[in-house]
Amino acid sequence: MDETDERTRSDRSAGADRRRRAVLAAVVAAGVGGLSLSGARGLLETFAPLSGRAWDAAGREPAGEVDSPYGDATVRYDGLGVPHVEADGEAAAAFAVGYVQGFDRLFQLDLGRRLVAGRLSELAGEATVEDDEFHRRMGFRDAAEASWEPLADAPVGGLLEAYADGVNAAIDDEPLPLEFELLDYEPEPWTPVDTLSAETQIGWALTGEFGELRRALVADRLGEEFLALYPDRMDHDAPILRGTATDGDTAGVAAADRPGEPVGAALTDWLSAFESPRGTGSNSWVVSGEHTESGRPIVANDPHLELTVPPLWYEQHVRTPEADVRGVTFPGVPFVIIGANADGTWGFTNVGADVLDCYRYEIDADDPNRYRYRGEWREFDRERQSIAVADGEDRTITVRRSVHGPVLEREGRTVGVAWTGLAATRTTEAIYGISRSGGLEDVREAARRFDLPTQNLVYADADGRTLYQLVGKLPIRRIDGEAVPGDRIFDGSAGEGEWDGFTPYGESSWEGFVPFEELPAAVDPDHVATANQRVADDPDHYIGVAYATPYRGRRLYDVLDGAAPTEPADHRALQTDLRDERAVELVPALLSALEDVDWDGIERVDETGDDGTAGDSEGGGDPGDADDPGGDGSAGGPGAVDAAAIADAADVLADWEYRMDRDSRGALVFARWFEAFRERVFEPSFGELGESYYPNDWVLATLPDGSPPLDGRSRETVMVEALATAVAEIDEAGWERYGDVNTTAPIDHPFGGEAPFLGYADRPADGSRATVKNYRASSAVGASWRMVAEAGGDAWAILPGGNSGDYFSAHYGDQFQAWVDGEYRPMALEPDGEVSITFGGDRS
Amino acid sequence: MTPGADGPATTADGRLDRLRTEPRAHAAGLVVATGLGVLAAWLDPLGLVVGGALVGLVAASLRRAILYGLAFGVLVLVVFALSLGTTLGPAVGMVPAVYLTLGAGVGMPVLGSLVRGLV
Repeated sequence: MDETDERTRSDRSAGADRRRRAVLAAVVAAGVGGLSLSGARGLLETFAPLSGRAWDAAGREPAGEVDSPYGDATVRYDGLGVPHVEADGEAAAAFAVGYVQGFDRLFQLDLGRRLVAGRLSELAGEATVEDDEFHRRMGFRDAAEASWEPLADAPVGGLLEAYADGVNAAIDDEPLPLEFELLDYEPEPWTPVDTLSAETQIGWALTGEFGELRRALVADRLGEEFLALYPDRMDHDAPILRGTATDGDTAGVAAADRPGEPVGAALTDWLSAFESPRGTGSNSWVVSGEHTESGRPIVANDPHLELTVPPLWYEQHVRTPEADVRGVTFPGVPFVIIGANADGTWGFTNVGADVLDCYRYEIDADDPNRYRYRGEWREFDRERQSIAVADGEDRTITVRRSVHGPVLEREGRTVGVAWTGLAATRTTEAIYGISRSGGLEDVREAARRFDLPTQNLVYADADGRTLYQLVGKLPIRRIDGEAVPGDRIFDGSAGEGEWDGFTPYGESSWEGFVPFEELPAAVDPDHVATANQRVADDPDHYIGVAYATPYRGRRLYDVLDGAAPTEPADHRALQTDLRDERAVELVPALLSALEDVDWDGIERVDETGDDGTAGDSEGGGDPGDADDPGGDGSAGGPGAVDAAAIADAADVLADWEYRMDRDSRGALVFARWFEAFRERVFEPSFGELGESYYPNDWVLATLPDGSPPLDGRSRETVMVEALATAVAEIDEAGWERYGDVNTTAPIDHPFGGEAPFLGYADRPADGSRATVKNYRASSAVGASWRMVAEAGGDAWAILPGGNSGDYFSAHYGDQFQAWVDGEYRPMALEPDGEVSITFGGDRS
Repeated sequence: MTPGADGPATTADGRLDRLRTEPRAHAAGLVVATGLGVLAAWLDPLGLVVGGALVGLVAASLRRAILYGLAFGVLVLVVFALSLGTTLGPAVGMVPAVYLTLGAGVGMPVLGSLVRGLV
């Protein structure tokens, strides 16, 4: 019996043992098998501890010694990660700059050139195919190549080659930054054409503007009376150059009253999508030594561009026997663009000039590849191009060009485009010349070659000279010999309004363009402030119509005009000023409207009409509009208005001092009220076209009763209704102060969706789109750099983020909070830090 | 296996048994297994499983093996954290990716240690 029991027990335990082993074996096999499947394998290969690729990108430090065929140089990195380059010569410096930009911002360099070349989809897949298609059709890369040809043999060309060699040395010597490990790819070598394409990209961002197409569509769909909402000239009194008498012939420079036949909504909207976000613009001013305590002139500049992670700008300091220059540039460009040298300081803001024209063609009904041109049939130049798509099939497109430039189409509608940036441009030489200028005359001379983008340049030198100069090539369009404005669609088949001396994708003589001497300028002005507003009241030549509203410009002049001798601190305070001039006009009007209001007429807050019929209660803007985060401009509650809440809001507004401060409740109420007001006024008529067609804030603020979009509604009534909407929205969302809704959350890394850790912290922010301290949350546009500099003296600056694009670097976002808070730190011309890199010959 | 045999164990099973039972051999075996395991983990993610298996194999029991696997995983994470130096802060901030790092660092060696139940 015992033996049997023992055997049975032993049998059972052996059986159990076998089963357990089988289970374990299965678990181990399944586990290892599962971990080897491609998705899991890929993630593990990237993030597993010790073996993960991502960790190869941690702890990157620049190599101590680097071979350079261009001569000796050293780099010190200071406490903010700004490289201080000291070099024996210009080429040695350019190589070193290439190396540090390649080390600090490599992914941004690669992404930027891919964007311009229409090669994003190789990395990003389907989502970017339309982007790539646009960039291929426009031929931006070909334009950069055209710019390279004449430069290749010039001295600057040699420097661009040295810069490229430096970038490539960094690619070869250093571990790749995190983004390359996450995407598991390596960058191709950098070339001078890549540098020029970085300039093409910024040129497009600042001047790529299809307003004429939108206005034509508005006239067609809504009626010509709506064109008054896009005035070619806003009736304000704060142009950049005030009181300038001109003796030019301004007849015929009045804006077009007939915009031309529209080219269809699909094409118009597709092209409009590639414009910069609204609000791209900037502030700058120059003040002569007469108005400063130190007696030195002061220049201040804060360019308003997309706020990105890492920042658009890169700060660097380069000292050679020829020049000592510090400031910011765009990664990809070797030379400082905004900054200071020992002899002077300068800054740029966008003019808003019209350097893009659109053409319609008569196309052969039997052969869509033929178009009529000056009485004859011609063929479009055609080229088939292939767009590689990651994890997908290549896309093939046929790129077409007319005599004017690229031809774009959607849904059977076609438009030809001429854009100054598509010709070979010499802006690189201008930038180089300005950065090593010795004074005002040097700068003016260099500025002659600043072909694009059209900019307001302000400059001051150590001798006390000051300058405002409009730079860039301005086309002159003529019809029957008469100069006409460019904000219309031209008849391309008739050769209407063509630009003499312009060769797309080639070298241009520019002979039909405004000569440099005739561009608006002011030499040794007392003070000039630029904020993208109208340049002058009666310019000699047509400049454009896409100027910004006058709010910032007016505020700058209000402060600078009355100023006693100023100190740099006063200028930093002005650069971070929060007074919203829209509120100055509108809040009193709103409060007055509230006093007169007939509450019975405002019963239902979710209607947009006065007659109480079921209105468009989805009166909100586009769902993706972050200015309207409630997603719906109308209030939720049915029935009676909450009069007490509105009275409360009115009290808050009455006590408010018009400052868009993140802690202010008045700013919150005003901001949400303004959006609701804008929506209520424009959505009924512009809703079908979309929010991007809405007229600007100044037009809204000055809109008279009886204006077409009001459609019989009283302006005061709409104002009050908007306040009811805003109050309900604020209550529902639980916002207490402006910084609850105005945050830095939209500022993000290109991968921010997938990898949120790559972004900066979400912080409450000050400023609106109309304040000098400019911030536009809906498009993440704002001061991408702030600088206040004394010519030949001290300077202060701040970057919205950090100088390094390396996620693991201590300088990835170390300036961000200071920027949010409006703080500055010195921007000195003294090299700072320990030598990190030594460049030289024959280090083997 | 010859239970109770007094002679030196010359078979593989015998050597393995020694590693599991004789204290000095066990310590040495554990050190070697850990070292090889960390090297494997450094070379390839599946090395984490291999490392867990190696330390698990020198454990006296399956339960002990799992503990060894866990400890090995923690050691890997400590070595990893030290290798990051000053970049440990940003690395920890890489949420949610870093959860995978932690999970794999501990979970995969434990998975590997289950091999002790087979051998």
